Amino acid sequence: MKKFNVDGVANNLINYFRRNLEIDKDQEAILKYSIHLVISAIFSLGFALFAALLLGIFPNVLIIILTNAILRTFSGGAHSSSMLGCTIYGTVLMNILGIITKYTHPNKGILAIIIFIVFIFSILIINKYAPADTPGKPITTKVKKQKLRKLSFSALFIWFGLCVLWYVGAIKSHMMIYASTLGVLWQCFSLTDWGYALLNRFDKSLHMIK
Amino acid sequence: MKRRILQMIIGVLTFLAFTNAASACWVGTYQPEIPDQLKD
Repeated sequence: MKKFNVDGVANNLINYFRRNLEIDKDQEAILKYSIHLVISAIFSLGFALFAALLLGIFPNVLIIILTNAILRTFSGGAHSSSMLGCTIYGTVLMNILGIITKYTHPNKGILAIIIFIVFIFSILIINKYAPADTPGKPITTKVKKQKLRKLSFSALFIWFGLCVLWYVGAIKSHMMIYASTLGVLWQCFSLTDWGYALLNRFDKSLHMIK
Repeated sequence: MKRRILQMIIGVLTFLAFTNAASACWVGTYQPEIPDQLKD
């Protein structure tokens, strides 16, 4: 069976663009990068959501992924060194969190306490670590770091505002709030040294298996 | 028509690359290496 090669797919697509349109070297590099982004998103999100569909936890996992992804865009966090690692790690982890939200049912009071603890934990972690960059995309300027930290706090406060609305009864979905809480918690954990260490260990194990 | 569609696809891909360059990282747990053209 022919091995799937992301670079090969990107090059084929760029050649196709080049045959039909005029694109220069700079555009080519940018397009190649965005094709990598799209393929990685299709694989990681696609597999995670497909597994969730099979397990009957699709809405839970979708909410976890959305919350996690929005906060992640601004705060950064640990990344896998390969697309395969990302796909497996994301699929397993998001579905474990989804299963937790399906089979545990904290009542309103307990969930409010969990939300408050996650909120305080997230403030401390974002303040200390965000934005946490990766070797593939270092954040070098101080202005950008400050801007991303502010945006991370904004996203966190918007989430907390939604939780307050849920608590006063304006939002009815208990599951949605619970799932989003786990999404925020996991994203903030991925900013910490422990989050990086966990993903590094997973990457090493995957390399040993390969 | 085909040219228009391809131009649109390229526009979307370029927009995606620039928005990603402005963010901290990609939404998944894999971040490809950013090209020099998009570095700060």
